[in-house]
Amino acid sequence: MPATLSSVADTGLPHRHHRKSQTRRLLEGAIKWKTFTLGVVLIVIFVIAAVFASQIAPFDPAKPDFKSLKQSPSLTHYFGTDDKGRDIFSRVIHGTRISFAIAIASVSIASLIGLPLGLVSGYFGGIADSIISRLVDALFAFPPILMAISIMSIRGKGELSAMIAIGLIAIPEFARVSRSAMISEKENDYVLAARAIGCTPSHIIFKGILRNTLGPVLVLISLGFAFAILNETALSFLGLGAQPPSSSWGADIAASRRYIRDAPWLSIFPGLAIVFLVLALNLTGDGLRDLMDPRRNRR
Amino acid sequence: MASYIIRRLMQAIPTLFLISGIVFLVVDFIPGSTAAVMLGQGATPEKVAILSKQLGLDRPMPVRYGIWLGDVLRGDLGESSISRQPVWTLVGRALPVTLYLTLFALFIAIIIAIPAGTISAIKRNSWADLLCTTFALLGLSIPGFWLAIQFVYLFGAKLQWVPLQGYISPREDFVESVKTMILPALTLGIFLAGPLTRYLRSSVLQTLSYEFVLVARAKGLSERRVLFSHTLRTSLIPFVTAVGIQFGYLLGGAAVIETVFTLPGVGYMAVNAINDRDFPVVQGVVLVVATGFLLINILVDVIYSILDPRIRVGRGGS
Repeated sequence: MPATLSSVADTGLPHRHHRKSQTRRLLEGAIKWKTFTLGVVLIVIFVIAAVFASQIAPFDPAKPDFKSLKQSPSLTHYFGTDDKGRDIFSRVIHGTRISFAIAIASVSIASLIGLPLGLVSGYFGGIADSIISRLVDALFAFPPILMAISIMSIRGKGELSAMIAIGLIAIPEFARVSRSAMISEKENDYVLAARAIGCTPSHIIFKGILRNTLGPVLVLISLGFAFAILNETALSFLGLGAQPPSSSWGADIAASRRYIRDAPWLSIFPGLAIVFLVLALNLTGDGLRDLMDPRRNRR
Repeated sequence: MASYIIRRLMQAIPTLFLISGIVFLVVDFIPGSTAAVMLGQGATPEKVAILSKQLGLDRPMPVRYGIWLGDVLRGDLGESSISRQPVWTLVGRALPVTLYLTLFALFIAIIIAIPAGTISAIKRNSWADLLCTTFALLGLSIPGFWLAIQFVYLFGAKLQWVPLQGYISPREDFVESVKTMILPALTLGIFLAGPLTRYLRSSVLQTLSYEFVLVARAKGLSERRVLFSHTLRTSLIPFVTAVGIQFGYLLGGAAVIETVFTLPGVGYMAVNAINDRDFPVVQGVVLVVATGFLLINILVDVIYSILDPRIRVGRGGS
């Protein structure tokens, strides 16, 4: 699936601002806050599921039970059981852990490499900027999922490879967004003033500019999480991510394909888990962007 | 105009060199040797060593890159280590399938995005807007492979409207061909409709805030005239760029969908080649797709500059 960060991101263009009544403005604010709150609440639920997976899950996610194969959802098995009699609800709960682990690791990799690259090329310009920008252009030309698969075949299958691959394919977007945030920020008077009184570039970047570019970076990170989860599940679906018997949403959906006719719930629930988590991250990212953009708040 | 196109093409040359370098480097890092793959079951260390020498695989990496790049520039992408067919032949066979899928998906996405984006902008903060933006957000949040499986279950297994998988060329049987392609294209199209709807929505909202719209209204033009001949025409210019960029992503991004539906496109081919360690094919496919992405972006820029002449002067250098 062509899950790309820029396809997740809105364009953030200014909106029409005339002929707007007071009630409408209030309604708008409420909707913005509501979507943001909804996103955060959903994320918190997923985080709780990941942290307390062993306490919440009623069954062992990896233990087969051949007496209850492919049972439809019931009060004992909320989401039914799979072809090996394993409780799907427990597997979905435990799958949260793997998705979070891979997403956190890959977003960290992308931030640690991509953000400095973008900030440096945005602040200094010149040759450094040309080189980094050309490299980012070239990296953008590669379809993310194909690149991820190629990178994964260097290290072989598994969670760690997936973390590295997804982290690396997200670097260009992180570099591009932080570069443009830096360019728009460095022209401010406070930067000129800091430079005039002889502050070092690292002081200006770390003490001044970074704090002010935190907004776009936070939005980038939350949308980066959505990107990471979609790609992680796609890689697991192709059999490259977390390996059985550990419960991973993508791998479980792949395994369920054979039983799609007689036991559709095998694929429905892990899929819904992905949809809700990615939706929550997108809602949060959108909400953050609207809340942090002063141009939008003032209207 | 011609000078603008030439300038854009010139700018692409260093990027293309970088792309070729990255492709070569990544594939070169993958463990396992082409010689071992070619020998298959009968590979012994001695045989692998002899064949590696014959193929020039024992030379240092920069030398091998130079030789490979030379071949590529002459239009030779090498041959598959497994089927021994030229990579160009394989790519030439797979590319039309992927183009068919992506253009079909793009068509579906545009049919959804233009009305949805326009309605949600002009009826801002209404129920219709909420419905359209929710749909767009859902489209972005649903994993394609999962949606594909649900579609196959519903339309293939349950309702039996379409075949479950496989590919029929449109030249063979057009109706059957569309039937095999409709589900993959719909899956991809729904995903694509998400960003396009959001893009058009902000674009229309911005256009509506321009003074010429106010002037058009003040002149007493009907809302419909204002919308179609003033607002939409202006809003569609940036929309074209968004469509082009998304189309570029789709070319390779279709890989997972092609795998689900076993469509013999470039994505499916690349995934298989990586699994089989068929390195020349991996290098060839990724290089062709990345170059295609770059060329589409240039084409989009050129179209954009035709639609909006200010670009030719202003944006060329950056």
